[in-house]
Amino acid sequence: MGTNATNLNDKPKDALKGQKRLRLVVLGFAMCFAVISGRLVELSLVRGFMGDHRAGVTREARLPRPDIVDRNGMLLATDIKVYSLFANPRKIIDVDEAVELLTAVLPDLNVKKLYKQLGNRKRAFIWLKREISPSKRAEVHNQGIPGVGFRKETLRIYPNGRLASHVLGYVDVDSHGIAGMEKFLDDQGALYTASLADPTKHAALPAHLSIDGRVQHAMSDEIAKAIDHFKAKAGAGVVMNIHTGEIISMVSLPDYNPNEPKSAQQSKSINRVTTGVYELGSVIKAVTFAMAFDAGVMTMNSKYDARHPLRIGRSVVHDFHAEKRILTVPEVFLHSSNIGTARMALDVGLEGHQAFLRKAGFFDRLVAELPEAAAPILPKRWGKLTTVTAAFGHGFAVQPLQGVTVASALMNGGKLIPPTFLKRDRESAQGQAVQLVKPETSEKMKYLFRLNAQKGTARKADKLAAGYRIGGKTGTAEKVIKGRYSKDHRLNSFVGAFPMEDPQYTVLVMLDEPKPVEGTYGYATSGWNAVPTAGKIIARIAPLLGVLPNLADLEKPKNKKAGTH
Amino acid sequence: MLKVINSILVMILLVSAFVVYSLEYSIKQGERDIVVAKKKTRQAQETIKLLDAEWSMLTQPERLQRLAIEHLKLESIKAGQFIPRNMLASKLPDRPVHDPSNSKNDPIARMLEDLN
Repeated sequence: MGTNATNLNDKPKDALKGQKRLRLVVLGFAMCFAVISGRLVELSLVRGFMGDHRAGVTREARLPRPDIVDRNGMLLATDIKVYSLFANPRKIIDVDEAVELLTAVLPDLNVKKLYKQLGNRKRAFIWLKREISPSKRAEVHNQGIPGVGFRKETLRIYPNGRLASHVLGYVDVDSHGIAGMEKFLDDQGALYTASLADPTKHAALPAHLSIDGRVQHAMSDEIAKAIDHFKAKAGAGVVMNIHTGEIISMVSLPDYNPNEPKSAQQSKSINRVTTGVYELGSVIKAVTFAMAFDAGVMTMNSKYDARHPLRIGRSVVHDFHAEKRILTVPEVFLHSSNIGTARMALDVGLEGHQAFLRKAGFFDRLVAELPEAAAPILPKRWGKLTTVTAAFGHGFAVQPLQGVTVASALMNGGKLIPPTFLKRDRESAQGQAVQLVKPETSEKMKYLFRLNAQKGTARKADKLAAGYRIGGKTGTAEKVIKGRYSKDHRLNSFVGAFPMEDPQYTVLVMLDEPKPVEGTYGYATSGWNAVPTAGKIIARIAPLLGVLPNLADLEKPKNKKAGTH
Repeated sequence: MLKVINSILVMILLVSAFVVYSLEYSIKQGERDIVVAKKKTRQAQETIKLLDAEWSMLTQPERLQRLAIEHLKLESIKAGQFIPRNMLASKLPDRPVHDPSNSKNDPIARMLEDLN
């Protein structure tokens, strides 16, 4: 340094130049590093915490579907992963060994066919067996046969089989909902449906139905027995929560197994509760009664002349159990007098009658959640005769579900609540309710329904479900065969509720063409088949639904018997 | 002076390189663990679903009814078998119907013995 000291003064410019150059280089490097480290911080910290989810999207051929459970969480429909076994014959080294090993684990494979399949070198892919169990899969996997592998497939299964099949519907091979709630879920949007099925999301909820699996089974069991016993063509039943409109059970027999969708496509296994429309017959009389009470043209003390058949133009209306006398209002109900009911409707008037039926929803297609909902069949023009026949339930056909909905309104304080197959609370149901009749009218109807179970056509149900205070109205509608009402083809129904002092559940039972059998003394009217079936059903489901029997009621008949003996 | 600074810088470089690499390895290991855990979770979820489906297949009301009729001597509950809560005390038997100390009187124990 000392030697250069003299030169310092000689070349101050050069040194200064060198220093400046160095600074420039240092500055350049510093900027480069600053850019790099800035980018590093951005990538690792900022983006890392923000989360870049582009890589997280997985594509699946099938959108997942949510589980469907009943109101108590019983599993009704679910997706499971299954493995299907395939082989690539070109990669198989020893066909004999492969066949031997495979048949050892899967004894139901056809050995000859397997030889043929595995020996065919022209093909590169063949299915050997679809949907094998996880344990079998592990065994085959552990054998380590070259050229044999698995494909994972999703399978929609209905572990409860036929239970509630008409509510659930079914899916096609690509897991699209074709019918019932499955279709309803798809109609809400595929992504919505998929989001319900994602177990990692907090909002992941299975589709929660209003159906109670136990009640559904009890009902289905009893209706199946009734169809068998009365040699009926078909049967159906509904239980509805009278205050929320929730369908607790909906049965239509014959039904199908949703695990085999082919069985669902037969016309005999249609859902008679919503897909079929029927003339509900005398059950509709209750609606006419409520209308007449509500319009103020009738009181409990009114009297109706049923001495002679009612003549409208060229048509004549008869009574089935003709009393041929002047009847009081309860008597018209108990004897199910066509003449009396027709006179009530005429008193209300054609306009008022139509307006009431429209308000009750009988003129519109009712769609709850199930897409299979039929539109009502209504008379083309509404004359005096139309009002007369409509008063006792002839001449217009509606879904049985509509009948239950209106019957519930007559007994729950007059509130018409749209039915639902999804779980619903009482508040939201009351929010959707329409006041169909006055609460006082509902009180009168409850009295008439109870009276009919104690003394009228629904006696057998009250006896079979003693203690549960049921009330109900029966209907025996003659079916239209080749354009005429047939005397031998009947659609019998019962609609009622329990417990009558404060109704909780509405019940509908329908039997299609029951025959007179031993013990019915040649009769095949509703009181002999639909009513006892309803009685058995109520006795079975009331304990499940938490309705306690009234024990005071139970004691009475015993005492009476003791007295007469 | 410069040598000392340089050697310190080299040391820092080596140490930080070591730290960065070991961090990266542990992160990679962590990622592998996450993948494995996710796979296990998915498998467990699938197993749960399968078991759920099997359970509800085994507890089908129709199947339970068939088994109950076949194996038990029980009948459907009758309305008369309900006792209101306020009458419960008066309806209780004085002594247990089945003496728990004597297994011969216990119908469920007998049933289990028969099974064995």
